[in-house]
Amino acid sequence: MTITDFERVDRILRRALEYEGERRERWIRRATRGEPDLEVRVRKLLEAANDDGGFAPGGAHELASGRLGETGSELGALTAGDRVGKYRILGTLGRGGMATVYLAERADGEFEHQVALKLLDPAPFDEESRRRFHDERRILARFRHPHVAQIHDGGLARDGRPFFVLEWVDGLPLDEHCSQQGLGLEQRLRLILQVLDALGEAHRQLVVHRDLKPSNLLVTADGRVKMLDFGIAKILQDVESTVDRQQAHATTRFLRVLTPQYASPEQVRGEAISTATDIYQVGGLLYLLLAGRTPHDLSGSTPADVERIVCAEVPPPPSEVASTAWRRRLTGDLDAIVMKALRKEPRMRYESAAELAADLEAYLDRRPVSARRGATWYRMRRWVRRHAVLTTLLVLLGVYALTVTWLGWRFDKERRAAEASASLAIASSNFLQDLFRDADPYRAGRGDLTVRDLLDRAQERADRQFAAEPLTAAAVQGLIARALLNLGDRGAAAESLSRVDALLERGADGFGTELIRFDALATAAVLAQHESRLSEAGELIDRADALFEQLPQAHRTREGRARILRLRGRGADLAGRHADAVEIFRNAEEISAGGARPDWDRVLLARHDRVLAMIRGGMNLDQAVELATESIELHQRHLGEDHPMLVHHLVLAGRGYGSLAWRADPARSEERASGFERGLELLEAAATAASRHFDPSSPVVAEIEFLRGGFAYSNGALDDALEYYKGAYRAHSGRESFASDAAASAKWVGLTYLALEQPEKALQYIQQAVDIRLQIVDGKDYRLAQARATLAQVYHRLGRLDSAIEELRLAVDTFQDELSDHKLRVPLTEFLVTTLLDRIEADLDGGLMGRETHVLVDEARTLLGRLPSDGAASAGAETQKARLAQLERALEELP
Amino acid sequence: MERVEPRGRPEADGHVLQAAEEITRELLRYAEGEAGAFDRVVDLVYRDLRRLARRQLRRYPRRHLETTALVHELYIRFASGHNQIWRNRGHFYAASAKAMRHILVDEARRVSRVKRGGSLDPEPLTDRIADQGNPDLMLRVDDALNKLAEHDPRMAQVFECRFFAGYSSAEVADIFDTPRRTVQRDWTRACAWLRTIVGS
Repeated sequence: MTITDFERVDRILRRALEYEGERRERWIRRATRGEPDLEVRVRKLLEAANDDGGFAPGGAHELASGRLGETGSELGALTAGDRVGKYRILGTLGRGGMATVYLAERADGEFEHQVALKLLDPAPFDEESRRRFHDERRILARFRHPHVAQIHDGGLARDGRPFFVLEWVDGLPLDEHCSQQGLGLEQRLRLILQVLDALGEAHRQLVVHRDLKPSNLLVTADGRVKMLDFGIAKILQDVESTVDRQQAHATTRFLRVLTPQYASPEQVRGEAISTATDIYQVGGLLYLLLAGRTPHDLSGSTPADVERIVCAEVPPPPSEVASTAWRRRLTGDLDAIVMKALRKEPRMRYESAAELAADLEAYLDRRPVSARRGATWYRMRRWVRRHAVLTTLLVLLGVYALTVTWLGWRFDKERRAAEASASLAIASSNFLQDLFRDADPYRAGRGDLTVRDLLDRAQERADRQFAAEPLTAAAVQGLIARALLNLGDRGAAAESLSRVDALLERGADGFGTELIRFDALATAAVLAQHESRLSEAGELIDRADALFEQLPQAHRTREGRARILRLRGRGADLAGRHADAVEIFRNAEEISAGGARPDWDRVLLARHDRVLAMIRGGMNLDQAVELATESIELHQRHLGEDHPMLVHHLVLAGRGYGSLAWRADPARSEERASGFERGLELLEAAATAASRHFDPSSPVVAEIEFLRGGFAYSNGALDDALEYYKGAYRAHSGRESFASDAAASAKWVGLTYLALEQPEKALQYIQQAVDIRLQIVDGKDYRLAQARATLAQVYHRLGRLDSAIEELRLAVDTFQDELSDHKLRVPLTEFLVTTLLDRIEADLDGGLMGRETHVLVDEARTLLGRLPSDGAASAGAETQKARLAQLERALEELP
Repeated sequence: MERVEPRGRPEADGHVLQAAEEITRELLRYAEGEAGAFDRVVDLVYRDLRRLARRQLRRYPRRHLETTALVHELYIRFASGHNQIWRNRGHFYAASAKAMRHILVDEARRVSRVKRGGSLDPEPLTDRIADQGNPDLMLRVDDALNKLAEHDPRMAQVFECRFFAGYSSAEVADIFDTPRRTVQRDWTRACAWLRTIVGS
C-alpha cells in the first residue's frame, strides 16, 4: 500500500486521460517503453479511472453507516446471500444489456413475498442525475395498474448503482406464450388490448415506457399480461448520457441502452421521446404477433445501418410476410392499423393508446360488410353534419380550387398556365372525393373520425398523388398547415410549412405561386405569434404585406387585406399594445363588412379578437361584454347556430362577464354573483355547442371547464367548481403538449378540495401537479416553485410543518440566482419564514426546544435579512420580524 | 411515523455566536498563512456538525445522511450572526468536508470495533447500523487518502470534498477557485489512484 514513483506515474496517467483511443495507446507505449511493470501500473490506473474506481460523490456515508449499503462482493455480480438495502439475494433471474435481475426477499422478514430486484449497471455520477433518479422513482412508485408489475421500492446501492424492487412475475415472454399456446389471431389481439389498457393509464400520468418488447411483457399461466420496467429505460438513458458525454453519436449511444428491433425512428435519432414512441413499439409487437417476425430485419447491422433502416425503410404490410393461412385476414383493416402505428412521423401515428385499442376492438366486433356498404350515403351525410370544422375545411379546399381555376381562365392568357390551373382544380376535386371515399368504408359508421385523422389522410394522399405536381401539393399542404395550427399542433404545422416552401421551390413560377406563398407567409406569422417570436412574426407580416401589394388586382381581395390587418392586430395585442390592437381589429372588421355582401365569417373573427384585446387590456369591459353579446346574435343570424366559431364567441362573452365580476367591488356581492352567474350560463351554452364540434378531450373543452371552475370557485359554489376543474384536468391530462395546463387544473382541483376542508384529497391532487411539473421542466421554473408552495400550503394545513418547510426551501431555492428578481421570491420567502416561525412556536408550546429550534430561528433570521426592507413587502416582513423577536425572547426566558 | 422526543434544555444562544466568532478568527489567520489554523477550524466545526448529523439521522431514520445539506445548515447558523465568516466561505466549506470525513471515519472505526466484539460507544452517530455498510473498506480508503495527500494534497482535498461531503463539482470548483473541468479531472485521477492503492 505504498506509492512509489508517484510523480512520474501520475504524469503519464494525466496525459493518458486527456487522450482517447489510438492516441492514448501510442502515448502509453511510448511513455512506458521497456518497462512492463510501469505499463501494467498505468493500465490498472486507467481501468480504475473508467468508472471512477467505483466511488460516487457523497458515497462515503454509505460505506460508514450503509443505509442502503450491501455486504458481499463490492462491485459486479451478486450471489445468493448478498444484500442490497433491505433485501437478500436468492438467485439470478436474468441479465440484460444494462442491468441484472435477481430474485430476492426482504431480509428483515417484514413480508414474505419474493421480489425481483433489478440492479442497473451504470451509476448516476452527478447530483443532477441523482436528483432526477429520485424524482422519477417517486412517480413510478405511485403508478399502479393490474397489468403493470408494481415497483415496490428502489434506491442507490452502496456503489452508487440504482436498483429497483419489482413485483416478481412468473410468466413467459409475450411471443413465446403465443406460440407455445398456439394462440389464434383474435386471442393475440386481446393480449395487445391488455397492454394498451395499461399504456393508456401510464400515458395519462405522463409515464412513457420506451422499451416495449416481448421480454418486457410477461404473460402469466392464467393469461394475464404484466408489463415490466415502466419508465426504467428513461432512467437508464439519463444516467448513460451523463456517464458517456463524449459518445457523440445518438444511435450508438441509444443502441447501448435499448433493443434496436423495436426502436422508433425518433429514438434512433436521439430526438424527443413521447407517448407516440410507445405506440410505435406496440405497432412492432402487433407486427411480430401477426406476421411472425419484426418489422425490420436488423441482424448484423451497423449503427448507421440501423438508423437508415429504422428511419427510412417502410416495412412491407404484415399480410405480405405472414403465413398464407392468415394473409387474407390481415389484408385491409389489420394491415392499415399496424402500419398506422408504425408511421415514421410520431404525429402520424395513433394519437393515444385508447385510439389504437378502439380500432382493434372495432375490428374484433366487426359487423357484416354488406350492412356497411348499404348505408354509405346516409352515414356520410350524418358524418358531415357532425363534423362542421372538417366540412368547413373541405369547402375551403374546394373553393380554393375553383377560385384558382376561374382566375386562371380569366386573367392568364397563356395556354400552358390555364392548363396547369385546370389540372390543379381537377386534381384537388378528385382529391376531395378520394378523401370522402376513403373515410367511409373503414369506419365512417362509427362517426368518430377526427379532424386530425382526416388531415393525416390528406397528408398521406397529397404525398402520393401530387408527387409530380408540386404546386397543387403546395396548395393542399398550405391548407393542411393552417388546419394543423388551428388544432394547436405547432410542431406539425411548422413541418407542414417547410414542406410548402420546398414544394414552391420545385414548382417555381407556375400559376398561383404568389398566392400560395402569401398564404404560407401568413400562416407562418400566426405560428410565430403562437410561439411568442413576435419580431419574427412582424417581419413575416411585412413580407406577406409586400407580396400582397404586388399581386394582380384580382387577387388583392378584401379577405387578404383583412387577414393582414388581423395579423397585425394580434401582433400588437401580444406585444401589450392593446389599444392599438383594438383599433386595427376595428379596421379589419370594417373591411370585411364593407361591399355589397358583408363577409360575416371574417367580420366576426376580427370582432372576436378585438373583444379579446379589450378584455386582456382591461379596457372598457362593459363595452366588451356588449360587443361579445352582439357577436353571438350576429353569428346566429348570419352563420347559423351550429358553427364551431360560435363556441369561441360564447366563451368570450362568458369570460367578459366573469372579468366584470372579478373587477367589481367585493362589497357589492350581488353584482359580483350575477356577473359570475351570467358568465357561467354563457359557458354552459359554449360547452353544449363544443360537445357537438370538438371531442371531449380537446383543449377548447378543457378551457371552458377551467373557466367555469374559476367562476364557480369565486362565486362560492365549491362543489360545482370541483366538478369543472376535474373536467378540465381530465381533458388536459394525457396530452403532452398541454401538460402545463393539466398541472394547473390539478392544482385547482386540489385548492378547491382545500377550500372544502378536505386537505387529504387536496394533497393528492397537488402532489400530482408537482409531479407533472417535475416531468416537464428542466431546472428552475417559477411554476414548479408555485406548485411546491401550494403543496406546502396543504402540508401546513395538515400540520405537517416539516414537510411544508422542505417544499418551501426548494421553492425559495428556485429564486437564488437568475430568477432572484421574480415577483414570487418575496411572498414565498415570507411564507417560508411564517412556517418556520410556526414550527418554532410549536416546539416552544410543546416544551420541545432543542438545538434544532435555534437552527430554525437562525434560518428565519437569515431569510428575513434577505427580504427588501422597504416597499410593499415591508409590512409582512416587519410583522414577522416582530414575531421572531418575541419568539426569541420567549426562548431566552426559558430555564 | 416520526416520533418527536423531548430534546432537553436549549443551549444558550451565546454558544453559536461565540463559536462563529472563533471560527471567523481562525479562518482569517489561515487566510493570512497560518497553517495550523485550518485544523483548529476543523475541530471547531466537528462537534456541531456531528450533532446536526445525529439529529438528522434520528429525525429521518430512513434517509441517507445528507452531508451537503448539513454543512449548508451549519454555515447558515454561523453566517447569520454579525461575523464575517462569508469572507472565507470556501475555507469554511473545505474545513467542514474534513470534519465530515473525521465523523464518518470515526463512525466506521466504531462499527468495526463493535463488530469485533468491542465496547459500545455511549453516544453513537446512529443506533441503527449494525450489519450494514463496509466500515473496513472505509478505513482503508481513509488510509489511502492520507498517503495520496502526501504526494498531491490538492487532488486529495478535492476527493475529500466530493466523496465525504458530497459537494457537487461546481461547489468544489468554487471552493478552490479552479475551473470545473480541473475538479473533474482531479476527482477521476484521485479515484483511480485510491482504487489501485486500496485494491492492492
